[in-house]
Amino acid sequence: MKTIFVVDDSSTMVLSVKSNLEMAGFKVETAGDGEAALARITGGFKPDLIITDINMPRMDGLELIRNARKWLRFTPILTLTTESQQAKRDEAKKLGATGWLVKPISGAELVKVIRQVLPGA
Amino acid sequence: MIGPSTPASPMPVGPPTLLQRLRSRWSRWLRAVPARRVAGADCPAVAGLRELDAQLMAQLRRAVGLSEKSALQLIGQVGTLRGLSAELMRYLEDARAQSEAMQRGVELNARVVAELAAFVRTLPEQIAQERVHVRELLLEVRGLAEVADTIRGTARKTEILAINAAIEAARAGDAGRGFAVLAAEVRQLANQSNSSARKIHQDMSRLVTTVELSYRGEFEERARHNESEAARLAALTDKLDESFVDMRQFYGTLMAAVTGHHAGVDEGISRLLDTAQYQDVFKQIVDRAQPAIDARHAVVAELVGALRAGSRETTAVDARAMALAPEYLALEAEHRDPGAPAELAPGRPAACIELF
Repeated sequence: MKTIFVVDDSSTMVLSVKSNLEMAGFKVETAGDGEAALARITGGFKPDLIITDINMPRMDGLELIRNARKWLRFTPILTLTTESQQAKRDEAKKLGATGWLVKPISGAELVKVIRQVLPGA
Repeated sequence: MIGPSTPASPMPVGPPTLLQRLRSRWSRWLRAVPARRVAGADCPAVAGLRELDAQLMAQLRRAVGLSEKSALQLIGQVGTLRGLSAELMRYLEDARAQSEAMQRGVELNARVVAELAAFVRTLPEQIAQERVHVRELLLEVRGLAEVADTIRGTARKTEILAINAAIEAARAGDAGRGFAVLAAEVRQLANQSNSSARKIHQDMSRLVTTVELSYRGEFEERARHNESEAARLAALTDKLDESFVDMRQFYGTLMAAVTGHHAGVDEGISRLLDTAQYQDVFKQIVDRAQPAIDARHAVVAELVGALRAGSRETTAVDARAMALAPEYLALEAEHRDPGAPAELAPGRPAACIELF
């Protein structure tokens, strides 16, 4: 079973994504902001895929991607945000993000994207 | 909280109290407010603030609209799930009734099969007993036939003896005449015994044949009966098999229906969960209003400070106030409106899903 790490400061968003992914057969771990997520990663947690919000307190999603890439070079990282500006997309791409998803996204679409970027999922 | 209304106090008489004087001054100030608003309407700073307020209100209304939309979707999804649940319950209720009917049929068939099995179990013993009885009967009849043969043999010997006696009587002449009559009587008696014995033998043979034929007939009749019972058993077994096939098909269909309903419920739950994401979008719209409100406060504070200082130069404040709404709208433009298709939003990236 593949493990997905969902990082978002919105508890409803986390619950929505987590429940949808668990229904699709994934194991889901969560964190409320970039700093908490990075602490898990530096502590040795190696998820199969990361889904992160961009605007979060303490450490935003772009900063999380920048730091996470030092520890997880090949793990797919998807952003899930209300932001849609191209400049931020480009920055995320440069930092090593795998894809950019705009909220709200249906569970079915999200699972489809995950299966696209995570072989064997 | 709404409390009971208090009766109006009576009108005071005499010079106005401090409270009355304050009320009067407040009323005069309130009456002057529209005139002041009209007087400041052409002020760029006020116009800028008003524009920002209008944009903030528009975004808040949009957020409320999203909230309402998500609430309606939630209600709709709950209704769909409730409908699915009710349909499933109806289906299961029908299935229960059908299952009970099938169970009754199976129980009935099982009883018939048990009866037939009991009958079949008694058959070998029954046939063996009948066979023993018939064999004993035939042995007795054959025994009687042997007795008849013995009688016939004795009669033949008696006849030979009578013939010999008649010969000896003829040799004796007149002295043997009486003995010749006796020998003729004995011979006649032997002939009668012989014919009686032959008749007994014939009767015995006929009786044996009749018994054998009767036994064969009974056997054939029983065989026919057994064949008929076996056919009935086979038919019932086939019916029982059909019942089990029906039952397997029934449970297969039931399982498929329940699985289909489960998929429908899963889809409904997934949509419910999707709808919950609007709460986050709503929150972010409200969060994005905060910097604009802070900037607005700063502009108002600067304007009030300038007025208190007696300055009539407000050009810089006016410019900042006029920039508030465009800045706020520019910030909003960086976020996709979840209520509108992306391709209809000019100047924004079309893809809601972009893989690098």
